[in-house]
Amino acid sequence: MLPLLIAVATLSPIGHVNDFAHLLQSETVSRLETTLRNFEVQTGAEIALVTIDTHGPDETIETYAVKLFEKWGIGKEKEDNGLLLLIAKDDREMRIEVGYGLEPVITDIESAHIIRDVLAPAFQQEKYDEGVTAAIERVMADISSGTPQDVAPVRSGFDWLGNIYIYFFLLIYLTSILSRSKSWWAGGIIGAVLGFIFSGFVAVIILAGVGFLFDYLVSKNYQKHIGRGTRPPWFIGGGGLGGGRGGGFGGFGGGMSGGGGASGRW
Amino acid sequence: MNMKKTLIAILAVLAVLVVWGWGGYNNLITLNENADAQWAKVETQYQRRFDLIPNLVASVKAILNQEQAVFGEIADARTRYAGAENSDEKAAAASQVESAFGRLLAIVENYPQLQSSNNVRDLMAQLEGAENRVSVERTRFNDVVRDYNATIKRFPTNMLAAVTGFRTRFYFEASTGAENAPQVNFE
Repeated sequence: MLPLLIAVATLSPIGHVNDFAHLLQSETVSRLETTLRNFEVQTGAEIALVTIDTHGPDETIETYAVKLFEKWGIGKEKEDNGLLLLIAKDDREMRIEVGYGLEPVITDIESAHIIRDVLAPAFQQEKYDEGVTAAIERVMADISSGTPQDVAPVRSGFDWLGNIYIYFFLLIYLTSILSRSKSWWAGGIIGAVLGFIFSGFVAVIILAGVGFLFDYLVSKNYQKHIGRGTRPPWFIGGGGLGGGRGGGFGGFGGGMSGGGGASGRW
Repeated sequence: MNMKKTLIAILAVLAVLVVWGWGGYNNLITLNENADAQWAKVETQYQRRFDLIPNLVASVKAILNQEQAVFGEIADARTRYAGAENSDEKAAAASQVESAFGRLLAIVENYPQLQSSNNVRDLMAQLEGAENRVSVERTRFNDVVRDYNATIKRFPTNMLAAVTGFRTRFYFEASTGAENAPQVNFE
């Protein structure tokens, strides 16, 4: 097969594992994908594995890696806790590009060790699946054990502003259920439960009150419209709900890197 | 009556101009600040690279007895960087460090006993990382400056820029040309 030069600008991520060069067994790809997805849920850190045929004559593996990292935004925004393992098959070159936030954990020396001691020896024996798996495992172990202050745990990894539309839909969804339900008090219960989950006693009382009032109002209003035979406006639960988000890969979080990491050959 | 209409028209044009000038001026400020911020990142990486020098020198100096000249050069560039008063001088000193480092790396390659030392290899990995970080942040600096320069040269913002005293900024040229540290392979 002819080596395929793919410009950085045209690459889109299909998941955590992007075996564009068909270097790995499909079992390895799906196994690593699951591992990395779970790892992201546990720690918030986003690890991307990318294989390409070649980075082309106009780029080095370093410039290709930093551009790809920037374009895909590997890692969470602000935390920059992403890591890219890029392998250029025909160039026989690889690079570990580390997001700003992970630089204290995956140092340049550690990246160089992973390449020199784990990846290169395995690749020289054409054991690509074993090498990549071992490297990813070592990176994950480093991240889980060495979490210094720069790498925040998952809770703050949630992007509150970016997910505002989810709250919006949740609100509409909740409204449509509450207004249709016979009860005019369930909102109070939900508010209490939410309050208990999110903060504590004071919030329980406040949210319970708000939820109670909310349900009471929308229920009243919904009944009024139904009674008259008119369609209630969308904001009190009149509209239908579209499908939710699919189970596919939702993309990376917008993290940045600044050239940290290491490169090597095999 | 006609006077009043003319007056309203003039006021309307003035209002549009003020609003446009306001937004345009603030935009220029933002772009200029971005360039400054990005330059600060470049300097952070320069400093980080300088901080590696003592370790590196300590670990290879004993073996590289005959190569004192290159160490003198690195020390000299470091002193010049510390004494630099503006970003041009800093950039010049940093370029000097790069060429001295490039020579040092080439020298190290010729000493097998250095090549096999894990300590030296780790330092080399750090040094390569440092060089790469510098070049990434410098490329981004040039991108930011390109945005800024394009904005203040484009009509009609060029008139606003001339009135408010925004000037084109200089690119960091060294990263694109001969000053690049020579590529050295350690495998």
